[in-house]
Amino acid sequence: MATIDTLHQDMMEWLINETDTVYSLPLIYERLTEVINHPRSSIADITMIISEDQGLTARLLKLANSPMFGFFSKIDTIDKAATIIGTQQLQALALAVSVMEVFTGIPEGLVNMKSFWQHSIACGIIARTLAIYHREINVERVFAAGILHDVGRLVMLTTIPDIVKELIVESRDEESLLFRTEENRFGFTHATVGGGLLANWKIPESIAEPVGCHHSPAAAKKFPLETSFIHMADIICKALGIGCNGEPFVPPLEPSTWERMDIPAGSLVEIVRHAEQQLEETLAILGESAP
Amino acid sequence: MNAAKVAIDRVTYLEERVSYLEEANCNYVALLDMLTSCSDFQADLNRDKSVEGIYRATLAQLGRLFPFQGMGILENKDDNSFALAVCEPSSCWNSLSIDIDAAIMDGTFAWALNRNQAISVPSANGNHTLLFHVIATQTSIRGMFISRLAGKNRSIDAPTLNTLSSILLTSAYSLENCNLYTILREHSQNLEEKVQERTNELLTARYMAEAAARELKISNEQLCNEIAERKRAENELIKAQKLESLGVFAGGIAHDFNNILTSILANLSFARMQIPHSHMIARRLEECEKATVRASELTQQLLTFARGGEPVKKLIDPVPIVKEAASFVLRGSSVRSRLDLPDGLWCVEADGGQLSQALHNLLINAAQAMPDGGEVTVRGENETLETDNSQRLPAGAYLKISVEDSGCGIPEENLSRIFDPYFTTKSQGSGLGLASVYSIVKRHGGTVGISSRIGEGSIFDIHLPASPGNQPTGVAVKEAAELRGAGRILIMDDEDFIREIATEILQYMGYEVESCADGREALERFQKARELNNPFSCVILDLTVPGGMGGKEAAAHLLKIDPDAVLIVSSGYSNDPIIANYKNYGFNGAIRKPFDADTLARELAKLIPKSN
Repeated sequence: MATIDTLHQDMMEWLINETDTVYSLPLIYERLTEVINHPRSSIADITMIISEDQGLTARLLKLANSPMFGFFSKIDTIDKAATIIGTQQLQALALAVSVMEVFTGIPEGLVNMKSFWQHSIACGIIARTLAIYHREINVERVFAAGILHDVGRLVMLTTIPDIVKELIVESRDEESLLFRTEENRFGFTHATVGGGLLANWKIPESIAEPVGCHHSPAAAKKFPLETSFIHMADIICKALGIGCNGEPFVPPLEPSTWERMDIPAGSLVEIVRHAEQQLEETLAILGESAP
Repeated sequence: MNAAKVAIDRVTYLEERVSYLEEANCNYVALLDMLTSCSDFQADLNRDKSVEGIYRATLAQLGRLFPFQGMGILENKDDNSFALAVCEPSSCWNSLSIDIDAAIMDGTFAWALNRNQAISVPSANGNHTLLFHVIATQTSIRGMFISRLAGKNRSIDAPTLNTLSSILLTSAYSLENCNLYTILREHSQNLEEKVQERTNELLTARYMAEAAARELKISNEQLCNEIAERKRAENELIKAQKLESLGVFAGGIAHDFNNILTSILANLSFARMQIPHSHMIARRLEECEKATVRASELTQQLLTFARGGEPVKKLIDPVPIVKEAASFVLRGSSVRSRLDLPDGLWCVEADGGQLSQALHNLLINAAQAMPDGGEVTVRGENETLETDNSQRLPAGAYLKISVEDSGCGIPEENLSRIFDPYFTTKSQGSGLGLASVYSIVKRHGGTVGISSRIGEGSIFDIHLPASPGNQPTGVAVKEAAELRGAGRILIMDDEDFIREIATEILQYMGYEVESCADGREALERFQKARELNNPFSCVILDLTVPGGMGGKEAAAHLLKIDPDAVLIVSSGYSNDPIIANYKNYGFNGAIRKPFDADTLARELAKLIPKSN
């Protein structure tokens, strides 16, 4: 067994390393992180770094003015966005946007990328709405984790597209969940791969762990609540049929996550309706990055 | 040169990195120190149960986190309005208030309420940065933290902001706990009050229940008394029934005894008639006669209770009856009598025998009230009652007879019962004496009243309807010779000794007498005599003939034969309604047994004309 486990571990490391060599996180994210955490940094420093990337700046400003934030007046500069939305929140948004930009040029066919990002963004919005409802402090992190939760599947699609194709067919034929098929084949799932990649990129664990454990929420040790939001949001998106991530079936709900979130069942309708109102415009803003 | 520049640049860059990392490190160490002190902060929160105490502790902790120029906390009031509750230092109260008002006006405040993170905006005058952070738990907003940072667009590094958030979250939960604690305390107080209230209610209910139990006990006692009363009534009923059967028995005996007395009396009176008044035996015979009369009165009393008697009313003078009764009852006792009977007392329509009986009983009662002797006063008065009088009698003329003793008196509780039949306080009493007084007076249309005082004596007052102006038709005492008559008399009586003596007396009086034992025979003889043209002048019929035709039926038949027949009814039952109302039954006269020769002769003399 140990040899098989090691084999699986090696396989996953290979996948991540392979991805890391082809796709790397933009340097801008690293610099942003450093400035935000610096005790002497000012809004001006942060604004300066973001402004270097015109595309990022434009997308962030659009997001800041979208219904997702619903700020009462127009946010027309990054420094205003930084003061109003918050630097850490801006950082998380920048991460999500940057990662989406990384994975361009993935061959179409197996999975429609537009549809893939639709699912991911919807998941991010719903997870963020759940977090807002829960009065979490940094909801943009949950938003970013939601958007990035299936990044592992992108890794697989770019590195082992043939095997992924086989798995999808197998899953459809046998009417079993795709991530279960993955687990049977590799001993790990796309979730684990995604979590591994983000950790490799030194993305904060509050984002990496929920991504890595979104199909096995019980395994989340440090951020179980954030993981629960992603797990729940993923299921809601699949159930509502928003976008497609390659998974043909709706994954089962882990009862412990429901208990942890402690949200009245009646509120779920309100949460989903609230999220739907933001969906279209956010998709328009972020969906552009998808090829 | 170029390489050197690159190397210098590199060194500069690395020096910058080192200085950044050192600074960051210092910052992290400071943060860690601050976080360590959070346990003290927690203790402060736990110690202080007041909202203001929590605000103060929170501000103190945040002051350690970052050198804010000024800080304050706004409290979320019950009506969802916000008001500055505390500020640090207190000198910045006014300037903070201005900042808050501006933030509320431009919407920043509302935005900050909805974002669960620190919101920093430049102040209105642009001199400094304002930082807002909502103080909220998952369920409710407790307040708002506001602080001032020096300089426009100041930002605080992420770790410090995150720490700020977590301190304020802790504070929010403490505030919520505090609130819940207050609610809980109020509830428990309410609960205590309710418990007290309920306890009082239960206490009241218990008192009521006890009172009810007491009442129940009382009514139970009343019930017991009632039961005892009924038991007593039942015993009295049994006694009454016993007495009634005794009465029937006594009545039977009295009837027979009365017939014997009739014979004795008739013989005695007959014997006395046959000797001169001066004869020495005449006096003895007279005494015997009186004793026999008394004996007959006794049987009369027995018969009264055996049947209940209708008075045979005649107009009588009360005076001789009162005198006779007083001398008769009190003779030989230690009780003296004082009679107050003024002249001109009205006569009454009454049954002499019953009136006498009533007076006897009252006098006996008076005498018994004075076992050690004393004086009994009998007073007669004429009284005219108006309508609505105290006696509740119809208006008219009444004779009032009062019997007053100086005896022991009658207890109040017994006053209402003394006339009840069988009520007696004497071990030997029958309970019939005063009851018979009552019933006799009642039957005469009068009343009897009582007033008594313990130890002083009692007064019985009898009111009888009087007939003012009328005097009894005085039957002058006729000598035996004057009572002689002539004519044929038929006597019907089942007792042969009565037939014999009556025959003898009447023959002595000059009458021609036939006798028979029952009604049927009487009819035959009457019919036969008419056929022989030798009819009877008068027929004397006994009312009660055991096993044969009685007087009442015989009279009816006789009157059919001869409507003008003269008929006299005789009976021991003087209280028989036929005796009292003899005329209604076709009789011309009535003789009460026992009769003496005199009475018999007088009755006949009255009915049979001398000429005949």
